[in-house]
Amino acid sequence: MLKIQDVHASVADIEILKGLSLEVQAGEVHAIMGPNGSGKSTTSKVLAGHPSYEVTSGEVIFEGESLHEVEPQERALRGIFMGFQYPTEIPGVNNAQFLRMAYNAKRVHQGLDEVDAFDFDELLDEKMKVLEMNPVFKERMLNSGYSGGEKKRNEILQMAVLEPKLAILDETDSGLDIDALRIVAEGINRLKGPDNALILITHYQRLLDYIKPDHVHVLSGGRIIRSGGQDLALELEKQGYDWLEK
Amino acid sequence: MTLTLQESLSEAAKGLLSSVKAPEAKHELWRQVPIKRLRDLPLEAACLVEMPSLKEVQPTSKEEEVSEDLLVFQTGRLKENSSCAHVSIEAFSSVANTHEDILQQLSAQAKDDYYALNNLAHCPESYQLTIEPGRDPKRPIHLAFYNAHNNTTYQRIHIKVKSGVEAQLITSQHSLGEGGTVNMEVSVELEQGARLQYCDGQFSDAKLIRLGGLSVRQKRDSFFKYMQLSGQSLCLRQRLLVDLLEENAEVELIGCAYLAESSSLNHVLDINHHVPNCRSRQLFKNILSAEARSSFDGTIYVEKNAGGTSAAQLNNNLLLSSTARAHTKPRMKIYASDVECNHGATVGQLEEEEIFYLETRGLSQEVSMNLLAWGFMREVIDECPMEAFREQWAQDTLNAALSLKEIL
Repeated sequence: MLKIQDVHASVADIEILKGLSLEVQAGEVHAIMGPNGSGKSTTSKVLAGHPSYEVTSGEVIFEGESLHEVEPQERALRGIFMGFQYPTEIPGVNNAQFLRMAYNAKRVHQGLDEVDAFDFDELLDEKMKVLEMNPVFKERMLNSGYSGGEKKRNEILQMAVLEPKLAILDETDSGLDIDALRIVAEGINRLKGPDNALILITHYQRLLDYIKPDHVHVLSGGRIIRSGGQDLALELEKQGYDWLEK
Repeated sequence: MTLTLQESLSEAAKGLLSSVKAPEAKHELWRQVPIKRLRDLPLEAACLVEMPSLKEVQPTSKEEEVSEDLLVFQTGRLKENSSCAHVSIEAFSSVANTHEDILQQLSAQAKDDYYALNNLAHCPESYQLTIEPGRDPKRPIHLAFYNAHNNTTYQRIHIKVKSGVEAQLITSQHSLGEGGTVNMEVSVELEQGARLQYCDGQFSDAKLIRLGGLSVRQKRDSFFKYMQLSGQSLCLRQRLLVDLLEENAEVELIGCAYLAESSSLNHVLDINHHVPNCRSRQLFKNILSAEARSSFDGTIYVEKNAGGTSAAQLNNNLLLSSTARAHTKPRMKIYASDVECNHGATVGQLEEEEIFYLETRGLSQEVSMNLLAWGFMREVIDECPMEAFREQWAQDTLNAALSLKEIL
């Protein structure tokens, strides 16, 4: 589904990714761990197509097609979803109406008819129930004034509505208390399937207690320095990253 | 022969006009106004024009909402037999000139203002609307002004809200044909404990020139809220003057405008706190695209004896193009101690991170930007309690400009 081939990427002329390679197949869950400043968030932004991040060499191929110069909107419509570490607050834009716009944009891209507010409301209620979200969030402004945990839960709600093929979740576990982490993780698990894939970017093993990864990668200095199974995550939890970087 | 009040006002204004010249760009309060667009304005009043059916005038009201009372003005004149429950309407031409106080007050207000004097001199008819006790406070009085597209349509309305009365008022401007010039003066007088919410709707008309002013005088415990919703126009220049004359009076002035192409919007505001313990708030938000221009020149005066004043002033401008310009000058002149006053202004563009966030959800850059612009404006739009009118304006003006299918 996704091939990242020796990607070098810079932001403001500072090279962050220095030869990142990763292959993700449909149905897989990959966890990317790594110390601060290793390039984890840059990886997610490069995949989502952030305009400030420039891929200077290498290639990202999604479903057999290069993402080179593909706009963020087009990537989203093709099925790439990024869950933000710090979801942006958008005052004045109603959460439910925004979600319906995004949902309909995807349907139009797929050649389907748009859904009206009434039908979408039913769909949204169902998704919110899974995430144990209070219905008042439908009428609240997008991420505006939400707590850290509420923002993260809202990111997963968006993911649930848009049903992406590939979701890259950037530190979705940060800011969540134990109960919220469990609920969000259960929500993510429900979205897993043989046709989609998940990249979890995280600092901590605790998220991986709930969402079992098929592969764990350690990112350091802008490239993957070690890959393994869930045991690797447990090892990192015990020993930190130093032993790998030496 | 005794002159009517209308004739006396006209005579007085014509006398004053002999010594007042049209403003020039070098004058401080006109510096940001596109004076060239005003240079060849016709000063004579427009003739009566044909009207569309009233059905086309009435905004779509939601079924559950209380409908409104409509008064239609045809090039400045109230259509015959128009009436409205608990509102007495008096035309100045039917009043003998025994109102020396009105004459002096209006002449004084307009004395240095070329366009206000022209309004006094040429307006075919001035009206006093007195809102009496007994009105349903949630049923708006809608004054719909139909204007000629040639010459100048002069409008002059004095609204008096009786003691303890609560009311809602809407004014809307409609050009019969494209463009034209509207010169509108509104004065509001709130007696003790009176409450008025006034929504001034200006729908987009790229060729319209609108000049004028709103002056407000408030007595004890009164409340006045003014909301101006503006679309694009060739030039919209407005003076807002509020005098808080007795204690515990409160005023809120709110404005939002979407300015496209080479639209120009200029506000000059003076809020005068003459007495202690009054409150004022101003919030003006503009979106400017293409070559649009705006200016905001607002001053809050707090007199020496006006302790306990609370005043806030904010002007935010969102520029959607690199060629749009916004000038803002929020000012305070405070001569009293023990006051709570704050003011601020911003001129900015959309945040790249916000656009990116929306794009990652499958929205195009254009839709993302338009959605963010809508979000920027929403705070102000939501302030308008007249929901049917507010939605009509948002749909016709803002959504049309932002290519959004529905009101968010």
